[in-house]
Amino acid sequence: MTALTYTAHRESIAEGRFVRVVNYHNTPMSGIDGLRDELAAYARRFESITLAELDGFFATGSWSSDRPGFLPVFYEGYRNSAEVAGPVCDELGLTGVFMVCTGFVDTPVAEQEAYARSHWIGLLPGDLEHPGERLAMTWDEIADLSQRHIVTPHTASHAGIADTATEEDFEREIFAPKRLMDAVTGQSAPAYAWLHGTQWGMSQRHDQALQQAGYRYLFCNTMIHRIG
Amino acid sequence: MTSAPLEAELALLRECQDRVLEREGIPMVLSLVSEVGPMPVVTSADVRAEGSALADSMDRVRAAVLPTSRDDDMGCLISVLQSVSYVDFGREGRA
Repeated sequence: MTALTYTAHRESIAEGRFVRVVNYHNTPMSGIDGLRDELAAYARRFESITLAELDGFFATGSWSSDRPGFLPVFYEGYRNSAEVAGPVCDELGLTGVFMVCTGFVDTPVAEQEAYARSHWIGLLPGDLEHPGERLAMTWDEIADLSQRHIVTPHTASHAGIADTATEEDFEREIFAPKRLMDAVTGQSAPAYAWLHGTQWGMSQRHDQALQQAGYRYLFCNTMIHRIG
Repeated sequence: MTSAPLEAELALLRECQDRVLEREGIPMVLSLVSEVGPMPVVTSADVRAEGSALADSMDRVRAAVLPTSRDDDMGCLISVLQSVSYVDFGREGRA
């Protein structure tokens, strides 16, 4: 098991086992120009990484490009991830990673604001300009995004390890999101992320459940763990 | 009284953390690790040189702002990586 220490991280990075990511949450339409400029700046310097390239690095220790790799990651499953971030990534030829709280997607539109407020899903003033409008992406949007990007669960209800204790919790937060995502995309959702980016090694029971569900990567605050 | 390196690195930490993180990108350099087998050796000299430079930056930031932090203090590690990542590539994305 990877040591959760400064020393272990330093060694991994010093030996070339690292990747640059930018973590995004809400990407409102009002900020689309700024997002495009920011991602375009990264695209000029870095090579967008696909899932196949990430798999390849873990197998060989090599990237397919001479340019450093880069992953933009969009969390929660906001409607604007599909309507703003996805199209900007498409325009720039970037592969995005969309980490979706499947319970947010499944929540009735009329309840989505309250659901977000109840599950650490941050809202911006622009989200509330038209009260009652949908805030989460739809399963159709997820299916569409998955044709060009990496789309995968970020728990169901934006849960942390401490919130996931019973068998029912495990089913709802770990197993069901994988089945739902796979059924909609026709692919195997490759990765998972806990609320707060909790890393591998904090709970053997939770770690094993992620493997049993069929996830291959765990995205954390400081690492991407290959777990399957 | 604080030293010049401490002031400079603290200012950087404030700049990268005191943003509207709910709607702005958070740049991070992430370690790639395997829990299911050994990691392959990275043979690219360019990639290793980049990694070595990033690791040196980590040491510099940590020595300036968190010199007494525990080796297993993940909160302090995250702050160090945020600063290093912001300087390495995050700031240019916001330019």
